[in-house]
Amino acid sequence: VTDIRELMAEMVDGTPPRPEITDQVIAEGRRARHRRRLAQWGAGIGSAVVIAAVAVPIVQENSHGSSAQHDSIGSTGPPAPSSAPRSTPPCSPNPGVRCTKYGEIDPLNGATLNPDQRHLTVTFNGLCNTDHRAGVRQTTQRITIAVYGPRPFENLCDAIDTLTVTLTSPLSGRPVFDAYDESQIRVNGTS
Amino acid sequence: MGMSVADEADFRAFVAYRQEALRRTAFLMCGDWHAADDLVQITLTKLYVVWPRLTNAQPPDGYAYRVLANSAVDERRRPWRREVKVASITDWETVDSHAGQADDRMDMAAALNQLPQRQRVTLVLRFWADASVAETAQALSCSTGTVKSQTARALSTLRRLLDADHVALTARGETT
Repeated sequence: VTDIRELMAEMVDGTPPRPEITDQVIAEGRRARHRRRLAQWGAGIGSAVVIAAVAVPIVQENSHGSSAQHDSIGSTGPPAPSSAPRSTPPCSPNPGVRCTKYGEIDPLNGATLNPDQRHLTVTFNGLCNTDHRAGVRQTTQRITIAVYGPRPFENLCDAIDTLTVTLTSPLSGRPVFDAYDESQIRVNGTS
Repeated sequence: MGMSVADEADFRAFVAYRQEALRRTAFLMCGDWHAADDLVQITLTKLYVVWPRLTNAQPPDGYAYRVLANSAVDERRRPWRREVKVASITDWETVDSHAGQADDRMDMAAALNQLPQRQRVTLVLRFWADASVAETAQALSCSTGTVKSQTARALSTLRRLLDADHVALTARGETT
């Protein structure tokens, strides 16, 4: 009588050393999540939510070190009906390419608060060779940050990048959220 | 949607706890340790992507085996995996099946290599991972009847290749 399970156990007897892959898996998993979200954005899912979420005056900076720009994304008036055509936000270097939010702020690294309490630097998963921009909505209760870039149909090269947003008043313990999914961002340097 | 620090810690704990078992299962499904490591990495990466959505209704273990099984079937279909293992076939033709444990192991490895990939994965799920017929069917997205027929065909082939009059099956106490 041949026991199939025993034969299988003999096959895996003397297993070679296990490679340490956890960090590699997590890094690849993050990229996979990012790519999946890009595909969703490419299909046009969810852009209306984000544009509505940050339809306020903002302060934004280019992620590649150029000087800070003061601009606004979206409309400051009442939100347009969802069926109405959306205006093209002026955040893309290429005319006619609509900005969409797609950068995910890294929940582990989160944001770092400058000692002056007015500058928040966020780490996010974005695309290489792409100018990302950040929008920030400020109330007395909370800060909401969104990361933008041109809609990336072809550029699927990933990059971890940082952006610094300027607050109009000191953070003073207000919670910070990612506009994409309303998840709270950990803020370092507040103690 | 980001993964929280707690979720990531849970995921790391799961990997530390289950990686070895997944690796052995992957090896049985593909017959090569390097390919097994690739399969485990693919599986864990896919698991990471959906980790925050996994609930008690769909425990990560079951999902991991499901991904692993399908990855093992899919990977074999890729062009660069369609290699002819000449050395293995030669080993199989010259092996003496009654020459001790090492040869038994080679027998079983060679016999599994002769099975179609789907039958092989079905056998591993049923008799190594202790999955029921229904669980195996769910993992491979097929009917329970297909699992039973694939199992019967695979066992028939194994009996012939192993020159065993009776191959005992150890899956949750079943013997056929």
